[in-house]
Amino acid sequence: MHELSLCKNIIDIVEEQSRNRSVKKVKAIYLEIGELALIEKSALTFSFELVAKGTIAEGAILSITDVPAKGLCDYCGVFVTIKQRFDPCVHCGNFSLKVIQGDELRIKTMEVE
Amino acid sequence: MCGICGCNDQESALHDHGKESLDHKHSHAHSHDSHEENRLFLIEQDILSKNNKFAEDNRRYFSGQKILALNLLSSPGSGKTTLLEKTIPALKNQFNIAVIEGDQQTDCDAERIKATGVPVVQINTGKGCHLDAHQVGHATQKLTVEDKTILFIENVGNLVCPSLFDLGESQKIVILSVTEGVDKPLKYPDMFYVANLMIINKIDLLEYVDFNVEKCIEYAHRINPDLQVITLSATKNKGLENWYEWLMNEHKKLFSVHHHSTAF
Ligand SMILES: Nc1nc2c(ncn2[C@@H]2O[C@H](COP(=O)(O)OP(=O)(O)OP(=O)(O)O)[C@@H](O)[C@H]2O)c(=O)[nH]1
Ligand SMILES: [Zn+2]
Ligand SMILES: [Zn+2]
Ligand SMILES: [Zn+2]
Repeated sequence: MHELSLCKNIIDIVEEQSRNRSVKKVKAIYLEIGELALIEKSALTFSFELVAKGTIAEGAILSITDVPAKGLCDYCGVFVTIKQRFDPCVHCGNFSLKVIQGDELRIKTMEVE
Repeated sequence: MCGICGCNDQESALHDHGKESLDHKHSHAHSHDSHEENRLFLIEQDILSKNNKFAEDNRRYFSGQKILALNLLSSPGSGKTTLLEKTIPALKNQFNIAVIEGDQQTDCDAERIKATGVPVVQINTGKGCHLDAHQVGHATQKLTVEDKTILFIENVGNLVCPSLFDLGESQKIVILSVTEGVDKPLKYPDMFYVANLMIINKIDLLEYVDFNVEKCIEYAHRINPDLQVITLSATKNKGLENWYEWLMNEHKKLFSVHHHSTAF
């Protein structure tokens, strides 16, 4: 359940960003989460509700956009969509894909009142 | 005040550094009319950025003190503590050694390390399933680690969560035992992706279990072609010399960097 500590981190960042901006309430937080990032979305939203209680982000909506995973083959230079870290390259069959997208754990924006 | 992160917390590292001025904001709130529109702020920040900042602080401290910090990762029971119980007596005449023990509840492992006579600090993570960089920074302060030390950080036994959290270590070492099955790297690819060294432990049991070492290494290399591998048995003293040699090499590298930077 690292989702719990990730939510603590989200709240920390949101509080930091709210400071000096006369924010009454954080209404929504928009995240981008890579498909390869080790996140259980239901665990994340559940943890978020717990951690947000009593903070400026209590009751805020956590909106998650999935970022598809992409890899670049070291061998033949192709750029392919992947499902797992250990997928072989669809062109050459080698296990030589470097993950270049899909690890994201990012807060994009927040909507406040 | 702690020298690494500059905060005042000596006991628990679970506090956060961002809450201090939170209360001010409400006193400044002025009345708004009900039609006020919501505002959208661009944040563009990595969720792990706080941890990563603490990890950078640790890394700077470790490299300044010439501390070789090694993050030991595995599922429960792979033999991390046993390996340390073997390693410490074998090397403590040549190196300063210190240990940070991460466990959810108990301090049994810390007691086992204490018996070897080197400094050890226990971090209880409670419900937390991994160590974070802030906890490690504080634990390091308590250790008053001497210069030129090998610092072993035994992470919580869990192959998922700890892979996300940089502690500022020099190397991540994933320990797998032959009773766990060859497909561990494929099931927990992230851990093997971030690791620098894989130790396959309990090779004394190879004759009793269906575990193909070559195949396991091949799986791990699919995920991480640069992963180094050492096979050993911590209890039956097989292959330990390769592990000691690896440690000595890593330690030496730290010093050669030092010599370079002072020569110019
Ligand atoms: N046969 C065999 N057993 C081993 C070996 N290394 C460790 N063990 C046994 O495996 C069990 C677990 O070892 P520990 O050293 O406590 O494992 P650990 O990784 O520290 O466990 P946690 O801290 O609970 O995650 C113990 O019963 C050890 O004696 C080995 O090389 N061969
Ligand atoms: Zn977890
Ligand atoms: Zn290819
Ligand atoms: Zn601190």
